Amino acid sequence: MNSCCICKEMEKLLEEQKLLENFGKDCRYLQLPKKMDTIPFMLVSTDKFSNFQAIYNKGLTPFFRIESLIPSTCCAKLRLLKPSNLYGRYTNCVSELYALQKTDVCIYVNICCFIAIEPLAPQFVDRTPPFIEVKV
Amino acid sequence: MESILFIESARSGSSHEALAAATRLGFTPVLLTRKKRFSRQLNTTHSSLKICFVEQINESSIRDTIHKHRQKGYTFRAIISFVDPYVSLAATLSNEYCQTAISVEALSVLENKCETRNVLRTNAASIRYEAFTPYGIAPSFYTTVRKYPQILKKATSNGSKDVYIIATAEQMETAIDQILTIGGHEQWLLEEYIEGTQYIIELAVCKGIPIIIAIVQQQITLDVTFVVTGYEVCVTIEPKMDEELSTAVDEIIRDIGLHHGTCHLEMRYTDRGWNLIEINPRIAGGAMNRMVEEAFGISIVEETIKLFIGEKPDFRKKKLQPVYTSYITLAKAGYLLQIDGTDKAKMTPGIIELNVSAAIGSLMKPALSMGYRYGYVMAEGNTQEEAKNRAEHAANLLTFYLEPIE
Repeated sequence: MNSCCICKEMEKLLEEQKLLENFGKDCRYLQLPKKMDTIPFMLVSTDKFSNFQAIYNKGLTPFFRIESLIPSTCCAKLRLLKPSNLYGRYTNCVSELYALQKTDVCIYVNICCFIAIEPLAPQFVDRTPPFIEVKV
Repeated sequence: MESILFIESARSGSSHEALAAATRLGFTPVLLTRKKRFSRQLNTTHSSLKICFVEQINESSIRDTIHKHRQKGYTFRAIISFVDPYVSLAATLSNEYCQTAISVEALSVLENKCETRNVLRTNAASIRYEAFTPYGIAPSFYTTVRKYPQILKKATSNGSKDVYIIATAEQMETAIDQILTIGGHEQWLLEEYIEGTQYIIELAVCKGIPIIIAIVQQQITLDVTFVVTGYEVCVTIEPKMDEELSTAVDEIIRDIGLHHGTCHLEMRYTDRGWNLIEINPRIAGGAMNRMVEEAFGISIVEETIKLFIGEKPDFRKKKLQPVYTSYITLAKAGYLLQIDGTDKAKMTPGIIELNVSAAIGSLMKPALSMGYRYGYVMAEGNTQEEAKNRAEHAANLLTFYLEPIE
């Protein structure tokens, strides 16, 4: 057993993500505007408390979705989320973040190598792009 | 300490500019308001301004404020409001406490559109109208033969709220049914629709003499409601129109009994002369004061203060500068994420002012009344055409990023 407190927190995040995924599934009357299935998050590493970033398609992203976790080893499968700004262009800056898109790329990490999890709003994932209006 | 008490103000525009005008004239402005949220903004832009918050603005809360300030050594020279529906109430108290000579009865008539129509029923500029209360309406109302379109408006409407164009008798029934679902105890007006260009006439009456300060042509976007999307200050006007306007205004003011005060008229010019659409007992809101200041060098609010306190106002035109203001309305609804192009728009030649009043995150809607205009661009030019083109061009540079409503 090789557990750490961050691993326990990640287990909790995964549990809540499953709840979110199944929320309203059995309902007959509850109509949700948009189906949500991801709690996106960032990982803070021990290296100068910077955000851990992974490479996908020549770009870097600090945003992930947890797919699975093995509690005994704290090994987590993370899906990389592609960040974009208001204009639909790539950004890895949190203040400019508008939407996150799931990619096909996954990585395996040992969660105990990190010191914090920074969760983000589920609404960022697959957010509808903005439309542009000018004066009528 | 000599002061002017203002009853309510908007966050920008004419009524807001009046606070600064009072300071320029050497008075300490005191503002009585219900709007707590813009106190910080006002405090930073007007260092001498004293703000008093009240839950309700009514006669007793205004009297309380006056008494409290008098005990602190304030001497009020006038009590003024540039905001509906406090204009006549402020004038009444001003006459009582400050010995001003404002025509209170006339201003009070102008605050109600039904009363105004009734007083002016024999006036040449008057149009055909019916006044009615939707609750308990007579069945004959529906069977009366009318020429459509007609204009349906609430007696106390302002800012184009509760003003609708009715194209058929069926639409009329639907509209009245809708009014009845929300009450229908208030008075409404049904007026004939007048085709023609609409103008705002800014007017001051000084000891019985009407002075036309400015004539501003309006560009109206007509859908179900009326929204003014463009204002053009007329620096020149055809002599025939001018002459007919002076006569019409003189007769209206005489019939209303306005001896000392200000108002603005909305009139349409047709082949049968000037027709009165509306009169309001104050300067038009929004960019009007700034526009007239840029076009003619006259601050209407400043001169209004002088007029009210008994000093001689100066309505002489110091310059003749074509000015156009283009208001921004949107066609679709969504949550505002970002506005791009403001810097670029400000840099274009001739821009006097760019004002965007929408807050990030707020829900933007298509224009149903003047309140759904999200800002304006004011521009000057060598000709009226150039001023208009510049304002429209700059307004079109603004892009609004909206998130769809899901």
